[in-house]
Amino acid sequence: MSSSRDFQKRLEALNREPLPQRKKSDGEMEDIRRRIRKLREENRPPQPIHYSRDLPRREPREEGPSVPAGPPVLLEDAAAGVEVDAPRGGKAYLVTERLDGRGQDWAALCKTFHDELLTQGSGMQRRLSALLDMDRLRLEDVLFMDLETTGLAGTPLFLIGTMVWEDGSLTVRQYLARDYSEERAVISIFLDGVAARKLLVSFNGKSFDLPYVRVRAAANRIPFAVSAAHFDLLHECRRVWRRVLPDCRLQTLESRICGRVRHSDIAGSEIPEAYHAFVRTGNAVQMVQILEHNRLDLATLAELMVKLPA
Amino acid sequence: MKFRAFLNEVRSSPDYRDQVVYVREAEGRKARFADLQRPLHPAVEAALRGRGIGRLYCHQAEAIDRIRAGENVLVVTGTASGKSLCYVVPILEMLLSDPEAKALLLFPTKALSQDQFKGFRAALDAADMSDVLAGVFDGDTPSNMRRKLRDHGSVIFSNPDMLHAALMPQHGRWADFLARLRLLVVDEVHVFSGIFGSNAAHLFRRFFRVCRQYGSDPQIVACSATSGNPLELAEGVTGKKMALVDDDGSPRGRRTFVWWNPPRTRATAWRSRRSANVEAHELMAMLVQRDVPTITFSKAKMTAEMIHRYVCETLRQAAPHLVSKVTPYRGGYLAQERREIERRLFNGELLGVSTTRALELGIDVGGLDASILVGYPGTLASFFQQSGRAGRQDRDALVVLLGLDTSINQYVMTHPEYIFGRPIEHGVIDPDNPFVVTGHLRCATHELPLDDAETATFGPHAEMVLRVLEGNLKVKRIRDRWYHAASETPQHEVSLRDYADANVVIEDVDTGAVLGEVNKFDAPPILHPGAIYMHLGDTYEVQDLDLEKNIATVKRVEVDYYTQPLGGTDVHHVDLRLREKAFGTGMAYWGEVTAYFDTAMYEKVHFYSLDAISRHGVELPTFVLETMALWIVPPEDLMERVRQADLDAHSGLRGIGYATRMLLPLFMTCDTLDFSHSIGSANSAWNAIFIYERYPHGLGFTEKAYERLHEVMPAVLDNIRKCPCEDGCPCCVGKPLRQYAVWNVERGEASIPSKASATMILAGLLGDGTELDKPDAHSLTDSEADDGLRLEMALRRRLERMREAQVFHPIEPRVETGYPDAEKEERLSSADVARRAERRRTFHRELRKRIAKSISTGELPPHAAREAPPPGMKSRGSNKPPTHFPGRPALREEKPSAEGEPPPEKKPIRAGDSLAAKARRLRKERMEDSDH
Repeated sequence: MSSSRDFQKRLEALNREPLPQRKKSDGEMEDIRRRIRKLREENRPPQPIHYSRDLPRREPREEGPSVPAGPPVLLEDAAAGVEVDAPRGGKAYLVTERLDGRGQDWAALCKTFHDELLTQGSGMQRRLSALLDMDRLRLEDVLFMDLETTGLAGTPLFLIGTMVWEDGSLTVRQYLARDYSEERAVISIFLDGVAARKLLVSFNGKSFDLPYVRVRAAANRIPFAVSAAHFDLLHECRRVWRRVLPDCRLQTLESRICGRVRHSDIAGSEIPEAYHAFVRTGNAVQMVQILEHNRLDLATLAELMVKLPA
Repeated sequence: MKFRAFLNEVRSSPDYRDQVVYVREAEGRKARFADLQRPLHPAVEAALRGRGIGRLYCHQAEAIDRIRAGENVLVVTGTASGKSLCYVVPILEMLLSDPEAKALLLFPTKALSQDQFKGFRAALDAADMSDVLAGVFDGDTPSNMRRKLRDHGSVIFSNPDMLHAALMPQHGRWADFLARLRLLVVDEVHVFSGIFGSNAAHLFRRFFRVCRQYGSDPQIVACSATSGNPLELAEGVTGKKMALVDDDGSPRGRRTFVWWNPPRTRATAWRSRRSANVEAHELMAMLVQRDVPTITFSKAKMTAEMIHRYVCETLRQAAPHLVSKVTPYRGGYLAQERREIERRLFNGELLGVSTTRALELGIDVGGLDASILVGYPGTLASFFQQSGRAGRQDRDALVVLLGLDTSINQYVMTHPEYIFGRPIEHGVIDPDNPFVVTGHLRCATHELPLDDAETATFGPHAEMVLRVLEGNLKVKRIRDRWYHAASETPQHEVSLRDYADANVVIEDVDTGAVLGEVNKFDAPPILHPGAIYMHLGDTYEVQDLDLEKNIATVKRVEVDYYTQPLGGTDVHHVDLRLREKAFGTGMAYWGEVTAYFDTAMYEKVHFYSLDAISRHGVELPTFVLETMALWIVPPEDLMERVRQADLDAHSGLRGIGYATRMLLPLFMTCDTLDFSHSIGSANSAWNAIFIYERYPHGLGFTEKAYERLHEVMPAVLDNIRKCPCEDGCPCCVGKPLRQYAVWNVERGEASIPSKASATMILAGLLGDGTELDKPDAHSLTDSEADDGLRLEMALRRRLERMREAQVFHPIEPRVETGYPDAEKEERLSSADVARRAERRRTFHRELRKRIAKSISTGELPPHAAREAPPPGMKSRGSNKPPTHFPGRPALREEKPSAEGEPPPEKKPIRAGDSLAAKARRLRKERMEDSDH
């Protein structure tokens, strides 16, 4: 009501005379409204975009537990992979991807990585040799890792992403538990994988990833023994960029150091709920996002490693 | 000896003549010692010698022998009989033989674990084992200490709540500790009764399940104060077979029990005696001035604070140097405050402490000699615990029981044999209640996947509960196991102590300090706006109670009154009649009802004089409880006869309800506090006597009572008839308190239900006693499947009502975020528009001025105000009983038809469709409609 009165006032002001006291017919009003709307739309400044994950998360969820968005997709269709048997029984789902198959930039990264680590006397080479207490580091001895879990405190994990050098390229191997019962297989395959390598590279793995795997291994009664040396990139990056960057989160490093910005990435806080929804419904729409998120995290690890100054 | 002199002095003083109504001297007894089968390790023996212990009492020797033999042991002996030694010695020996071994000790309160830890630390030092890492792991432990204890601790003192909320969700991090756990000590097992015990029983099942996962099977040592069925309770709670050690060999000093009844000051029937609080503080001040360490137990936190205040004021006049030697102590204080008071008590720096039940359990508060109980504590077990606080070892002790001016207290005053000649109450647990199981099954699946064999250990309803939880998206069955399938940590949502969802934090508005925490169900009566909250003897006025954020803000004020809530509980309506039968000349029913608890108003009461200053209404939400009830409807012609006999029929019905409630524990293992009673409801006969359970959907007590009604009701009649009182007392027809009474019982403004009327109704109802044991005329629960279905529906409803969003404390300020500014109105800057607006403003200003002027000169009458509400009331009509309940919009009686027609089908509840979501959807639809 008030808006129509305001409108009338404005028209009176524009016309410099009072409007005749009669009710406009609906058609006329509609016409006027349309014109006003059009005028407004033409002059409106672009609205800033606010992402939901930036807002405080205190409010209750709008509608029950989240259901995967988009049309239902089967995991096998969305992410080509194979079922693998764990040495201690059980099965897990393995998704493999070669980085150099992703495009030129990634192939270049593989090459840089290869050169940086194998060049005798490069900063990284010396640093790692000292850490490992051996002269020459073989690329096959390096294993990158990154976890995706259903929480922060001892709840099951469901994805262990690893990256190794294989046939001239960095290759991402992701072990996924398709439901809660496959966690045991995922952990035991991963631990066997670690046992075969000499160097483990992670981001904050010393205080998060590896202890997490240890706790989950204990809960699943899997013996936990990791003898590989651990190169934690968080500590290295902190040492170098602490005073330069606002913080040393992986996203910050990725955008500021590697110059890469992610599009349509899934927020870390949405991952547990997305996984529960996947187990519940079998719809793998969000799992594709999670796998991609994990893959990019791993690739960033390799890139940070080559970009670290000596 | 000195107490006898003191008593004689008191008795001969004219002020206190005739106040001591009963004295009983319990003789002391000699210590009995025994030797161990295998001598103690030399280091342990040295440690005991260091603490002045030469020989072991016979119960200690027996317990240690049995523990060494690997048995699960339950020690049941009196207060201060050296129970803790029974587990301290085995722990020391265990650590000496295997430094890697671990022990976990659980005490029901934080204070107790702190206290026991101090003793254990001393023992470790004396045994030259200072390198053993032992510590208290509770909510007050800083996080670095927690990590240290978790990774390297050998002996951990904790409480069940901490085990439940901190250790269990993260058991993986405790893997080393759990794998090497050899001994689990559970102290004060007798408090694991009722809802807490039922929860604890599940907690221990879950804990042993996790221990098995890590390959350990800890031995249990439990300690308990004397109770009716300690072994049954301990075995029920821990789920393990135990060996009982109860041959108490400790010495005991002479103990003098004094029944002290405040004098009558008025000749009225009620409120004729002096205030027991006033008597208590005088007595306490007297004892403190004689250097007798004294502890005073009151029933309410408020009373404890008040007595402390009175004592301080008395001492300030008589002996100012002693004022700093008395202190209050109660639950709700912050940890540091409590630790400090305990330390000062133990070191003998304090001479007097005014407390509530918080100090009842076995905290070693050192050499207290006198214990004053303000009012009978309600149960015998409590009475002996509180009186046992005075008199350690063979020192003489004085116990004074002060009679309050209520019937039950006056009954105890005149019938001391009630205390000394009765078996102690039984502890009861019902872990199979599906509503108790629900939370624990969520926790159990979160901890480890649950297979079918393990599911069976959680009771007969476990599988049904899991199916319902699966529908609620909390768990999921994959192949043959149940897995937790949600993001939250269920342990943080399940409380062991009660069924309230959360605690209310009390915050000082001036300093921002948190003064304490109160269970949400208890908050409205004591923290309603306007209430006076007492903390450390200071008075605070409650400004606001926010039950959404669970926070109450209080402001320090200096007032000379306290507040007393007035409210009650009642059955609002019957939801479902599940069974009915003819009973005597009337009818009996059993079914689901909706009851409510509320606080309608409060009263300001002057300190000391206890004069009521004023009454005020409060507007607080009503707590709704869906529960099971049994109701009896006497025939209408009988009620007519009662009225013709000039008796109050309603009063008689109330009396029957009370009497039945009091007698039910004789027929089944339950507590009188598990029930409430009320008369009539919105959709039942006006004279229906309701007995309903105070837990959501009950613990099964009322159905058992319904089945045994033919035994219960004749016993009730017999009990009322045989009671020696003239017209009613708390031992037969009840307490004088009536729900929604706007009268103050402490001042005697109430009446006891009519005994004559109750007897007449009951006799008429029972008739000749032949028509009592009839089969059900109608039953909706004839098969177990139906029963399961009903429980399942009820469980679904309850889960639906659970709050989705949880707000945890402390509440942080909202994060400032950059919401876009609201779009500004486009303003036209045309000159004449601005001028017109300016003119309009001026006009209105002038108009206002003119009106104001004319009012002051009397030309215009002032604006007619609404009629003011009566003094003290916020608004009119605020005290009406609620007309609707959340979740139950329509009131209709679901009456089963006689043809056995199935009850109308309820609309299935969609998964994830909570009430809040429904409301949001409706609101959205409505908004869309209005848009169109």
